[in-house]
Amino acid sequence: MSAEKGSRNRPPKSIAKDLDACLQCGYCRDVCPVFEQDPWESASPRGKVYMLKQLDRKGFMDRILAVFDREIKVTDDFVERVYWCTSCGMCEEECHVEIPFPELWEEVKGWLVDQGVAPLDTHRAFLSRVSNVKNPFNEPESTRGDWSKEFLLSSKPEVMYYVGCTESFRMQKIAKTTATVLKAADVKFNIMGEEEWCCTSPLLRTGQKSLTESFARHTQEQMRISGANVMLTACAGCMATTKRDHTKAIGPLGYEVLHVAQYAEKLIEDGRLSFNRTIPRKVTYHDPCHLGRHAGVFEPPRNVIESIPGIELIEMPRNRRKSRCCGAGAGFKAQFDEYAVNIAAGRVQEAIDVGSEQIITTCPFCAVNLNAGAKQLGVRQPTIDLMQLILEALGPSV
Amino acid sequence: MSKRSDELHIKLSKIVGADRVRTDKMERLLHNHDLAPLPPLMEMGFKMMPDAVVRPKSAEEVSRIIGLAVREGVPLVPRGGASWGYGGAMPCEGGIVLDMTSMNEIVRMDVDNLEIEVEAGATWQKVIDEAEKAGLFIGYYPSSKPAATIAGWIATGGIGVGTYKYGSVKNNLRNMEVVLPEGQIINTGFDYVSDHSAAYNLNDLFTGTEGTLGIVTKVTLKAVPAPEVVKPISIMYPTLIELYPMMHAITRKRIQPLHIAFVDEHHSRYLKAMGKHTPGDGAILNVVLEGDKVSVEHEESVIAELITEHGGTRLSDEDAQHEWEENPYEFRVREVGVSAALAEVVVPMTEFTDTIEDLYTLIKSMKMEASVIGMLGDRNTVLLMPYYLYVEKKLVKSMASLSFGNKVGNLSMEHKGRPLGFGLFFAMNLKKIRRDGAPVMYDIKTVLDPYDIMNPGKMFEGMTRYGMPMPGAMMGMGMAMMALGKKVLPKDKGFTKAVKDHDPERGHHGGGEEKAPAPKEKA
Ligand SMILES: Cc1cc2nc3c(=O)[nH]c(=O)nc-3n(C[C@H](O)[C@H](O)[C@H](O)COP(=O)(O)OP(=O)(O)OC[C@H]3O[C@@H](n4cnc5c(N)ncnc54)[C@H](O)[C@@H]3O)c2cc1C
Ligand code: SF4
Repeated sequence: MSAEKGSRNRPPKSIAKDLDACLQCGYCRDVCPVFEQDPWESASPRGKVYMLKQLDRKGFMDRILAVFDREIKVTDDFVERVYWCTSCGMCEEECHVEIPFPELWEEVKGWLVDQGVAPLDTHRAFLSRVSNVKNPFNEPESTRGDWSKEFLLSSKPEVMYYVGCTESFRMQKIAKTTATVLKAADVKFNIMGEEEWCCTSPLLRTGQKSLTESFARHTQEQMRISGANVMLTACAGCMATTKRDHTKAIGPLGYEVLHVAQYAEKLIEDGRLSFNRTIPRKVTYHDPCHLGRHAGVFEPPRNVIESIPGIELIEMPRNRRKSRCCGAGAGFKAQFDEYAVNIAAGRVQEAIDVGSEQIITTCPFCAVNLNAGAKQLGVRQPTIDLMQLILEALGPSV
Repeated sequence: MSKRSDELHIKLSKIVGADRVRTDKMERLLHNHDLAPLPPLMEMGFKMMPDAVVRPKSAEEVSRIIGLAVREGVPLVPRGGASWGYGGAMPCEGGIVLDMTSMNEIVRMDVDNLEIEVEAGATWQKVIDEAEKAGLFIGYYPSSKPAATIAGWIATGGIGVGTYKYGSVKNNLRNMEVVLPEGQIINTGFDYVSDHSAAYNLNDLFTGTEGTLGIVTKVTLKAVPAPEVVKPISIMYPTLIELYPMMHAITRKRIQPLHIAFVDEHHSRYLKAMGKHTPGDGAILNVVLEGDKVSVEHEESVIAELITEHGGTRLSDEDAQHEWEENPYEFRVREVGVSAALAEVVVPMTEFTDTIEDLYTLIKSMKMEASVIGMLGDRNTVLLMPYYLYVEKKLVKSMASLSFGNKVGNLSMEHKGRPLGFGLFFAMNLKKIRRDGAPVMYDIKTVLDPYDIMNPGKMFEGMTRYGMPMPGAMMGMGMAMMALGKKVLPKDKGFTKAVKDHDPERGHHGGGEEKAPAPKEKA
């Protein structure tokens, strides 16, 4: 199938300047985790930018040049290459001319969606599900808060815990652990339960922008009703989306969005959270792209880990801004699982190489994928959530 | 897809397997150019679209691909990072592009013998990083190390970081494995020891060949033990002309910095206008010292004395470190959405001031927004890289970029210097620049590549689509006319306009929230 809808269909104007800026130096190639999986130029950020540049400049001349075998059009192959991306943002980090890449890729995906040639199969289902039942897993809305039954929720909360779809429906253990940690620190918190709607991250990262504004407004309204002025998330994706993308969609939110790692750091500083148990263990910290490069949160999770007695935190060579993606993001795992797990396996190997016994992270997706990577390697290098580590360090009394 | 592509797909698949061959239009389009932004119109004159792209994994595979090319009469184009900008790693008569980045393994990290055997398509960054892990130091590489491959730099023979102290890659080659244009796989030197024996030095012969004599598949490079200290020092002057006496003085002392480079005041001003971190708006001299602590301290004290003598403002250590880390990112200025056309020439130190003055006069007469940056190749060889900013979409301006390169080349020759690199663009200059040496080069090419399949059209003038040779004189005249056209057009304002609309805070997803230190940059 040729996906082209006529030569006037140019990439969005908003990225034209970035396309002009690219000098084709290729610095973005070797740092790209998905390029490593299939190292053809078309899979590299540079190659995709070149294609977009040609599409942007397409004119009358190109019709003639098509005779000379030089044909510029949006093909299925190109669409797939655009989605061959975890949105990790390493290309932006290394880019010679600092192209704001994650945003650019989203714009491009949105443009392809508008033309009706994207997203890819697995991503299409996200939209109808999130629209109908407010989560991409197609689970009934009414069961969203079921995990929380054993917790005392406050009607006058200090903070609202925005649980996220993955923790509500797939990894309730992390939700419960987070709630237990909050309880241990005597934090009055509540959740939105049935009224918690997906942050729309899985849609935005695949170019489907239509629901974000209304969903952001809904979340804002729930925050208003709650009376709290801090919203916590335990998921890096939810954090980046509810903070950055919701602000972009509806303007100032009127409340602060914090990842629980940041909040836990505050609780420790304020003396509300302290650790009773010594954990003699070498661990490493994996920066989720959405919490690290995208939201700029690097030190709080590290400070929390280091405040646990006995723990030795070792850094992998690629850390903080230069951290390596786990391979799961932007619907990549959903569509290309095998490659996503390969990338994770590479990351797990880095942890092993520095002598780590356990990987700590702050995103449920990273944890799932890194554990799949360890399984592929056949090694014991479990990845756990920071909240699980905190709970362990709090000791048996909790 | 063309018939030739279809046929090549089948035949190449038999050699390397189907997953390492591509003939779809997208992949071919992506291999029809290097760094140089050529107007698509050139496709009418030259067949820049390859017929196939292949990713070989061994010298044997390369040899078999060459065999196929000879039988089919199809040109071959070796390509590394495609970060060179003279039309080198791109076809001009179609054919097969060999993406050599598929051969990027470190074969032997030999700490005992202070050498590294590496496949030719590895990037310099990879080799530098792996050497560092093993306690070794590679003190010579192109600024484009994140993308440039080992063989890409060998094939272009350039000046880069560390050339001042260690020479270029050609001075650090022990051995190369090269596949010749008739398929033989040869070694050009010796592992473990340098080539001081008689007989023709083949390491040198295969350096600077722009891919026209064979395909390099493996290289053994010299390394040195890791230094105790790498210490960048930056000194600012109001203008590049005022920077010169200090730079000259350093070269006339016995100290041996790793690297000496400079940017002019215009470069600093562009960065400042864009909101980039820059220590000021003057010309900056960057000197990088490296070695044992005591020797670096001594060299630093010599430089300090010279500053007292010649003036200049020494920048803080943080600013100097920043300048050093920014070294690979020479074209940040493009971020505002403009293109930069670069010319590269060398002139002797003694001609520096006159050349710079002439360059600025040329820039003014061509009504350009331009700057001069550069580095030293040795105590007397100055590499000048004037670049001018233009809007790529405008055809005349884009063609003028070629004429600018040509004019700067001529200007360097008036000052006892030479332009660097030929590629497709400056192939017509071979005779002019290599003079009585050129016929010998033709002979070598004819003997080694009798079928003219190895990167044809580069270095030696090639064929246009219509089987006619590219008339160098006409191309030269075309360039001169472009330059003339440029002079009568209004003054360039591409950068000035673009920078007005530029938002320096853009990007990074607002992730500036917490300025965590990046992991330490390796030297
Ligand atoms: C920001 C920037 C900074 C730069 N700094 C420097 C610098 O400091 N010094 C410098 O010299 N250059 C510099 N360059 C130019 C360029 O990056 C270098 O010349 C680099 O070494 C080219 O390597 P490559 O792998 O990209 O080669 P390519 O561009 O892919 O190829 C260059 C030539 O080598 C040939 N070739 C490639 N691989 C092989 C092979 N395996 N066998 C035979 N021939 C082959 C190609 O056919 C072509 O003719 C810079 C470029 C940029 C963009
Ligand atoms: S690093 Fe940036 S400028 Fe260089 S090729 Fe990649 S996108 Fe283009």
